[in-house]
Amino acid sequence: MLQERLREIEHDIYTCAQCAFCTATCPVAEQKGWETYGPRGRMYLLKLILEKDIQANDQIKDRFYACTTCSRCEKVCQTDLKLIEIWEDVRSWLVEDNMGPLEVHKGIAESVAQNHNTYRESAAKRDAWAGDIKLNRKGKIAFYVGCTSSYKMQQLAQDSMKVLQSLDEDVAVLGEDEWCCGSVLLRTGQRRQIKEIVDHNVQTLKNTGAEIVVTSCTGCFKTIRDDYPPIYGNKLPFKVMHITQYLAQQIESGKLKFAKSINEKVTYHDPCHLGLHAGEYEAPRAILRAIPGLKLIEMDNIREESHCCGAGGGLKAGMPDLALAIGQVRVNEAEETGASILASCCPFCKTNLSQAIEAGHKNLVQKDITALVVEAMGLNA
Amino acid sequence: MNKALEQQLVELLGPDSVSMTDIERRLYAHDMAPVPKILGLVWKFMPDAVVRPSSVKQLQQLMKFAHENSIPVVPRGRSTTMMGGAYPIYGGISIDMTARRGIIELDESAGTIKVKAGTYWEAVLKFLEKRGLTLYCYPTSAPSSTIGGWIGNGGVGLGKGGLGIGSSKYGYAADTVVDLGVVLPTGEYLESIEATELKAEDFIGSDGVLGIMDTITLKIHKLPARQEPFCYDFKDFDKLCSAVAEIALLKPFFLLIEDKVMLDFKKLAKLHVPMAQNLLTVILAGDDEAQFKLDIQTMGKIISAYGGQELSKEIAKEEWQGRYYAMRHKSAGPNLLGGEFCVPTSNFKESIRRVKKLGVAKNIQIAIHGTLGVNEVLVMPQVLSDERKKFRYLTMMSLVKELNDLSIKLGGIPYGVGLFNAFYAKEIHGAKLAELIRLKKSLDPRNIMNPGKATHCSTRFRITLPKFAYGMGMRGLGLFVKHGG
Repeated sequence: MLQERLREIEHDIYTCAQCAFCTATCPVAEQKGWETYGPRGRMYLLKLILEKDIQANDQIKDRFYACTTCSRCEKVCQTDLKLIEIWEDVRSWLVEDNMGPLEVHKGIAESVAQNHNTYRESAAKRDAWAGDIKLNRKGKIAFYVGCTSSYKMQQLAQDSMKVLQSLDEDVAVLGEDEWCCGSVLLRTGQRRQIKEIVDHNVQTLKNTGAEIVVTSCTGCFKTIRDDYPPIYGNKLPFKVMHITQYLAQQIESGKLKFAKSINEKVTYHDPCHLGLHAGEYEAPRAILRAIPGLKLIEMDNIREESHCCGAGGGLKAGMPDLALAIGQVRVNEAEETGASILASCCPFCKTNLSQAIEAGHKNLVQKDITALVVEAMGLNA
Repeated sequence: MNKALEQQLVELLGPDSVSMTDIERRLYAHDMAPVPKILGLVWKFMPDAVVRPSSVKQLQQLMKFAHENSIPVVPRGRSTTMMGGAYPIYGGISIDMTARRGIIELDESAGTIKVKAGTYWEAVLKFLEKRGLTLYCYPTSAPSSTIGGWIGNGGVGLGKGGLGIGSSKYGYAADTVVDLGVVLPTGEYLESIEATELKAEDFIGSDGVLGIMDTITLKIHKLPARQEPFCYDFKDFDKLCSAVAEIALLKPFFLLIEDKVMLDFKKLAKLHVPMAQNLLTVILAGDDEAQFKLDIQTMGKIISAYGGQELSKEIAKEEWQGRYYAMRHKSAGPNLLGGEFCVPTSNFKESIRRVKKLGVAKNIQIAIHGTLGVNEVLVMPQVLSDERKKFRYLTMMSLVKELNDLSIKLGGIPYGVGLFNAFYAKEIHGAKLAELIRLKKSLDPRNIMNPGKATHCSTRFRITLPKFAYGMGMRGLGLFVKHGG
């Protein structure tokens, strides 16, 4: 029962100062307005449930799933509460009580169980994105492709692999053995399959012999780097890097060189899982600054104060209109910079920001940083 | 409100602007301070409906509706005070003003900025700072406090309002306000209060009992040429208090006091704290470099004279950056209970002596958090408490009254009015209380605007609670607060 489970976080519930610093910065609260949609409101709802003043119902479930888990709330919390853990724990307890998740999230979990990917695609076609690109199963580096790049955004997978292979490294991919990282399951409170997924992915990645695992998806990056170790029960036998971190290192060492200029103004959106969650703000910017011709113009809200794109935490699948509205706020901010390119480095951000650009008829193009690197290296010829 | 009125309200404002769900109404029935449930017998905190008007037109429609049907309305910013001013006591309609947010006009030549009432202070600050400008003063809850919420808050009384960051140099909240746009209880809209017979000062610090502030025009100025934080450690808190009285004459931009017990509370909450006994943080700001240097010299002499030791610039910067986080140590409680009062700067030292004496008598650790005001120090004595220990928590509330009374004896006043300090309306509003009562009768004949507060403390049965009854009740509860526990 949720009410009993809340005893585990009782001290946090009473520690919440109700100062609303979180609500003032929450992208969902900005859209919906009502107190119940803000982090402070959710903490108060938990207190009411704990004290048996109210019982969990569909409205409360709705409020706990109306969250991108961007972690802006946690960054500004008056009393340093680990709010993302709280949101994800509560979601998992709603699942335990058969109240959560949202219907669409259940379908994703089923797909992961049956096909090892979130899109109901054939596991056997996990490598289909590669086309003519030659793939290895062993290497010093393992490229963890991710479900979205494998099936829905294959250009990103190709671009990532082209750049990695151009750096003369042995790059391994897992093919059919690459299972969904489990990010969506963890974010939506569906923890039943997660131990099996983690153990499988860690073992298969280890089997490649890779010292470094590179991801082009910030959700996979955050999940493997931060969520896996406690579930796996040990330190991971490899280092996990987002592709922007890896490429920034290669630029710094002089190994990655650009052959072409991109004479455009670009602004950069910090994906929450890379920035707010992992504290990596500099590597993507270092790449953009290094590309000849590109002029980086920052938005008002960046780095720790960055606004979420709206797609995280299962919100894009569960409440697409709300996710799009949040994305439009970010796109408006990007437009104000006068940039022609809105760059980011996460497939989820790419999807939502691209749709927000289209919905708002903005004169902006959304590009992944890896695509810009490919272009500036002359690899897309 | 009956079903028919609820239906009318939805038709009037549209379903997106009205909520009557149980969970929503519960969230508009409180502010930052946990109130024991038993007090629900005395006051009806739950609104019947919550509305989020997004235009002046909607606000006017709402007020006409409420006026015609004599429904109580309570304007609410983000409800970040602890005095009960922003939630109902008779039920009625809670008006969430946060949909009315945004900057209307920046007029650099006039040195003003006009904003909607539901805009956050920090949002305005950031907007101005990007342009090399800033506000004269703003609340320590700036990240979530709304402009209208703080300007309306009782603070140190009608016509003055709140004390905040910048007050020690530039004055009260009222000193920073140029004009207001107000929707009166009848629904009439006064776009510029200064163009009428009324004045902005009539509404500042009135706890929203006269009308709803919709727009506020604030004074602005250029960012100071130089601003620098300083932090000092004092072994002797008495001497720190003496130093504060002298540093106040330099008109620093901000001055923060934290005693040893406060630092101990922070350690209990596993926070990193400087190696210090009692902390004094001072922010100097100014445009005249020669004067700035002179002020630093003078302050250095004062600090030396009272045995203070300067701490590193890193510590000073951390203290300044943490200015919005006065409750960071709350997990040590997990509740903090205490008072908030102002005393003349000259009596600050004596007030602390008496607070500490009270703590000894009751065998409780009282921490001191203080900030410099205009001619006063705003003191927030705090004790660790736990609302889950219901009877103990209730009895500990008696401490608030004792702290308030202590401040009055020293020429001070409790800070903020709202509901729970309305017993002190006479002391806080002073001579202006009569004016507030007169305006209330004249502008709000049906007594629908945040009724039962600010000028007196009413119950859900519309019976005014006499101060002596409050005193007796609190004294009775206080009898149980002995020997810690």
